[in-house]
Amino acid sequence: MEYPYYPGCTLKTTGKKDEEAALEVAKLLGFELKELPTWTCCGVVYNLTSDVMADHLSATRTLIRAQEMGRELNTNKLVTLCSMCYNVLKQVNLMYKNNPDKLYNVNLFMDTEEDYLGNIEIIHFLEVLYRDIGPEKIKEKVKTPLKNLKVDPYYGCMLLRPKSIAFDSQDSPHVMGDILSALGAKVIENPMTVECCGAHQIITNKEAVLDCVQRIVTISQSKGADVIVTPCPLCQYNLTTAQKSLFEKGKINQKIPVIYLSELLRISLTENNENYLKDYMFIKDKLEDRGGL
Amino acid sequence: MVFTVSEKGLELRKTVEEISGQNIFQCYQCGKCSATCPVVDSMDVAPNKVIRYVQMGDLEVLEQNTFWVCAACFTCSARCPRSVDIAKIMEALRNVMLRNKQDFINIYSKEFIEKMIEEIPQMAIVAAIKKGVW
Ligand code: SF4
Ligand code: SF4
Repeated sequence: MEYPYYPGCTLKTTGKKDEEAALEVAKLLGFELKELPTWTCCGVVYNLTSDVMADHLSATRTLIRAQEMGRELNTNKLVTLCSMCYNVLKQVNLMYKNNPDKLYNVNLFMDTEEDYLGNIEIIHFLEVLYRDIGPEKIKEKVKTPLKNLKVDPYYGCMLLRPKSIAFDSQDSPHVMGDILSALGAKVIENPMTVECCGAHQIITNKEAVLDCVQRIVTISQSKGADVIVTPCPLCQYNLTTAQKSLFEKGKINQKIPVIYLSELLRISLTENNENYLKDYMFIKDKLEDRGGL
Repeated sequence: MVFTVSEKGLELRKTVEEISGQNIFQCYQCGKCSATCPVVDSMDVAPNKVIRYVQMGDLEVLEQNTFWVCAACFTCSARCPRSVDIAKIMEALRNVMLRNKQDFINIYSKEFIEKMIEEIPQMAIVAAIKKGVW
């Protein structure tokens, strides 16, 4: 199976690790993510006003690119890896589904593009793993069970809110936990899993981000998490850098590594994973300490 | 007791309702949005109070930092018992300021340029600019 795939800006720079790992994980599980030949920024944040259309145009162009590639690959799906891209593309798409007049107008306006027909379905990589592949099949492909590794899956905001775009329960999501269990990991239940990391406030109000992260990681820590996994490059960044500051200020007494779910999947599904494990000594140590390897 | 709302106050209320598509009087001031807001500690006034200001047509609302501090996380909107989309009201207030040429961020400031040099994901930079610059 081949899926049209939209990376978005951050996965090509600070979020590179996520993309590299996810593309390999896809191969290991028997599918392929085919990057759209050209794409622009999704817009990052969905414009919440009722009267500004211009902000939706970049996402619309991406939907049209997906429509073009979808014809070749015979699918109407577009896969994203970044939570924010998922959120924006899905909200824009839904806005057109609910307001055909807006779609009509935008098609008239963008007269250098083919019309967007409104049929693309935006899905996140996690949905491919969970729905199209499934935890059972993932379990069969595990080469290194993550036995005894205590993992705290952190969702953040953008995959689950607003409700119209959520692909899992808004208050107690289970998709990441089920996948992690399939890898043999011990999944921690953190009540802060759907709380915000502070998002772009890292630019203008770092203190707020520190507060948000402190609340999240304090519980991770008290529950004994070895690692926090997230699908979002901004959550990954905020949780990591805020922990550094919190640690320096003595507000937390331990830093928990924050990595992408795809990185953990790659470690668990790759036959000879020594190469990868050397970048994640803390995982290697845990697995060996507790007889996992 | 009779409250009088100024012309400008009425206009603000109408503009916020138009931009957000929300009926501001749907809010019954339970405070759940504020209880659930992750960044409420950095706000001059809590989200429910911001809504109260708009209901009352009080222009002081525009002097509060609340809507700039809002991270647009949709938590309040998800949990409001009256289905008020508070995140949209925050966006409307930001837009009232921005459309009035009152930016929150100066992208030419030394402070902001330094952020660009740090390894902050560009999604954060673009988001901050889109929420704080016209
Ligand atoms: S949660 Fe809803 S009803 Fe309650 S104060 Fe906030 S906006 Fe008003
Ligand atoms: S959307 Fe804004 S006001 Fe609402 S909970 Fe999130 S940060 Fe607070």
